[in-house]
Amino acid sequence: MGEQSNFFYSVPQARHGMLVEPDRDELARQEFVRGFKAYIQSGIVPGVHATYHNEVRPAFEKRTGRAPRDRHEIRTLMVQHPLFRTYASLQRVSQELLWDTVLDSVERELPVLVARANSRNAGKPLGSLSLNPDLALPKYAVGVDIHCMPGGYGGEGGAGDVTAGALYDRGVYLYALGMMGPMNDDIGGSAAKFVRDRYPNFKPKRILDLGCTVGHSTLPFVDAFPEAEVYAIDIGPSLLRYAHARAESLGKRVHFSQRDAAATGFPDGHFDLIVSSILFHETSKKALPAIIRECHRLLSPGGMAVHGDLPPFWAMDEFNQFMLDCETFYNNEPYWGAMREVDQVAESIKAGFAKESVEFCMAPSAYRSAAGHDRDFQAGEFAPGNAWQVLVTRK
Amino acid sequence: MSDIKVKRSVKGHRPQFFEDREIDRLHGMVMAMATEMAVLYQRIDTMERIVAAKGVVLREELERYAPDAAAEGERERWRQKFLDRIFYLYREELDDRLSREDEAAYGRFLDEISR
Repeated sequence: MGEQSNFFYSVPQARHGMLVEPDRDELARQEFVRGFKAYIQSGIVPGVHATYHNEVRPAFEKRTGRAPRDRHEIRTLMVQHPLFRTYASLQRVSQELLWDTVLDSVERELPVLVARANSRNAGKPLGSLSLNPDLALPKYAVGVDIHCMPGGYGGEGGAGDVTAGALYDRGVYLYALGMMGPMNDDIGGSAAKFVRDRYPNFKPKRILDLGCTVGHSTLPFVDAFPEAEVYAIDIGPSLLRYAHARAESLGKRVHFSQRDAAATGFPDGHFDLIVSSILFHETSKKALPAIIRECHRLLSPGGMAVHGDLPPFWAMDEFNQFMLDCETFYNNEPYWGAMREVDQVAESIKAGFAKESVEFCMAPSAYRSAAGHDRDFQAGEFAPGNAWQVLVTRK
Repeated sequence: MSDIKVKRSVKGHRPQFFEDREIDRLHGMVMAMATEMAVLYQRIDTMERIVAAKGVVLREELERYAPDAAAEGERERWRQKFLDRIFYLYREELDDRLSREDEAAYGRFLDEISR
């Protein structure tokens, strides 16, 4: 397993006009933390699996005469085990060190990054940037710093700040162990390829990306649909300044604006294609259905929404559910577990989509298939198997 | 530009993994130190490879070297930052205390978001 995974780590993150440039010590730190995360996955996670299947579960079955009921019961057993505690503690530590090591580079380069963003966003940009300081930031997005990123998605340290964007872009690359490709764009790239392959006659005129963060998943849609106008929204001003400057530096035309995905303010039927990448698990029980309803309102007749995320719980066994759910408790992801139990198909039908126009599909990983990689999804890491799970709703 | 404040600590209570909080702290310290060791290793490795490629023997010069006051000052500043990194969990805990975040508050937030 270690050898298989190491194959991906040799791909360095692709540079662009906004990416932070670590100095040599910072780079050594970041590479070490990424290696540490990879090591937890290849060196420690298998032991956690073995502990459960060879020790904890048989002991429980002997005591009670039945198997553990669900991921919650597995959790009550595993949290008592020293090996699991070590795993969970190290995973948390690796996450904290990850952001801390990237923050060193961001803090040092911040004046330069702010100046670069200012000059990219001014002048004659290809796309546009529109911030709304009056927007009430949804509590689910800013109540805790999601996945322990200091400052969170809503973080705004002052005029022109791009910290959240710079931190996210570099941090997520390390977090994903480089498995989302050198541009961090595999979810968007795979979803875009999926739409083109499956619906070759579909020609969207306007595309909207919800919860775009730094626009890494947005840009593949610019390439896949060069005739379309591409819009992207998020709630964080620092993220959006960075996202726009990043897209401009890469020569991609995207219109970024600060809006709430549940109430965007765009007119009815304004978009032919609406997409989101790993947005759903970072929302809430109230916001998720509201976002699906908003998509229904925003779609033109014949339009479709494609939402990509990690697999729902029904797609894996209870133990992997439990492992995946650790993010809920240890990585500031309060909706991570609960979201995976939501019947997204039912919610879509409730929102007005016809039953036969709603389905879960697997979008094969564009980066992985192009690179000839082959691997299974393993709970505990942020990386897909050979495909991303997408919810497709057509109007 | 310089008045942009970069936040270092994380909003949301930090879970405790072991009965004894000191073990949680030790995990953080050991891995922060391991990170710095990796940095050093990489620096020294780079130096050795570059120097060896030029056919230079550095050992005697290294033995004779005495830092001046400015170099000593730089080293001390480095040591203080190094220690700050190692004690990052204490900083987190202090922030938790100051903002009165705890496990119950996170649980209430989780319920509000997910139910």
